Amino acid sequence: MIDQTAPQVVRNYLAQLESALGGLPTDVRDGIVAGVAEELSGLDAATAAERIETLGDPAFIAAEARAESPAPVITAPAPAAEFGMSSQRWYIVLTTVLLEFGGIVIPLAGWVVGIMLLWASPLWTRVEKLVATFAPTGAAAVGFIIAGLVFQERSVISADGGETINPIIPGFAWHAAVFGAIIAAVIASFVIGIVLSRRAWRRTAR
Amino acid sequence: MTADVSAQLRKGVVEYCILGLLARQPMYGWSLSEALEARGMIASIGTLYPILSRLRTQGLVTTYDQGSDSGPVRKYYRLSTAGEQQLDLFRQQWAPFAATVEGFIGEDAS
Repeated sequence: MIDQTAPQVVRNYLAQLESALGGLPTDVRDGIVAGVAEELSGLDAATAAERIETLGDPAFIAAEARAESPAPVITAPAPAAEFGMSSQRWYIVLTTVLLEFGGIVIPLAGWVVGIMLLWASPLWTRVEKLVATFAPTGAAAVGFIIAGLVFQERSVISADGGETINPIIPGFAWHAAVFGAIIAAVIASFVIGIVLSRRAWRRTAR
Repeated sequence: MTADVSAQLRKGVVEYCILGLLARQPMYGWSLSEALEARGMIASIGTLYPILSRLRTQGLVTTYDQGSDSGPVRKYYRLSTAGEQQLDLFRQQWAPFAATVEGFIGEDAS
């Protein structure tokens, strides 16, 4: 509460300070304003103006207070029921089935829809969403390389039609590699779908 | 490496400097602010109050109001028993810590 009998310069400064400190924790804001008001209390306008000069710009004081104050407490997530459709169990089933089999039924597009549903729901964490989005690609890359190397073509067709072994630059098995990539991506998607499904199920059961 | 090394250093010890000041005598906000600002430990009174609030929440300082014949009623801060213990703990750790750092960065260090 600003003392209305204080000189105008004091009232103006305290009002500016209160305004600048908006959004800070109440005890910090009140502490600063009360501390400054205490110090300016009973001073004549000229002396108060000198003190205010040493205090500095309210915006600067507020910036310093914000820098030193802890971040606002993040409230716990609301119960799943409050998130609406994207937290319903049918939504979990649809999303995870699309992640597991969508890419097989409708190549790529089905999986993409599953990923979109996944990101639209609050039931999964950001990390889970990132893993679900990028892990199949990573698994595909690993599967591609492993299959390509394991099944590498050790013989090449020579000009006269015979097969000769090329031990220095063995041929990379591209077909096997692509097949390996698809298998690895499917397996990864299946595992991810199961894990996500179980986790979301537990969360909605709370 | 951070550009403003002194700001980082101040941030780590300013709470204990406040406890140290209050160990000598109870002080009100403005006087604390002046003492700390004069030694470059805080930039403004805006830095001080969030720290005081934190110290009070942690039970390391307590407050009381006191009037005077010549001035307004002020809120004074004083060290609690827990604050004294915390300060003692810091004192025990500070000297060896400072010596260790000096051992690394001192010009005579080999």
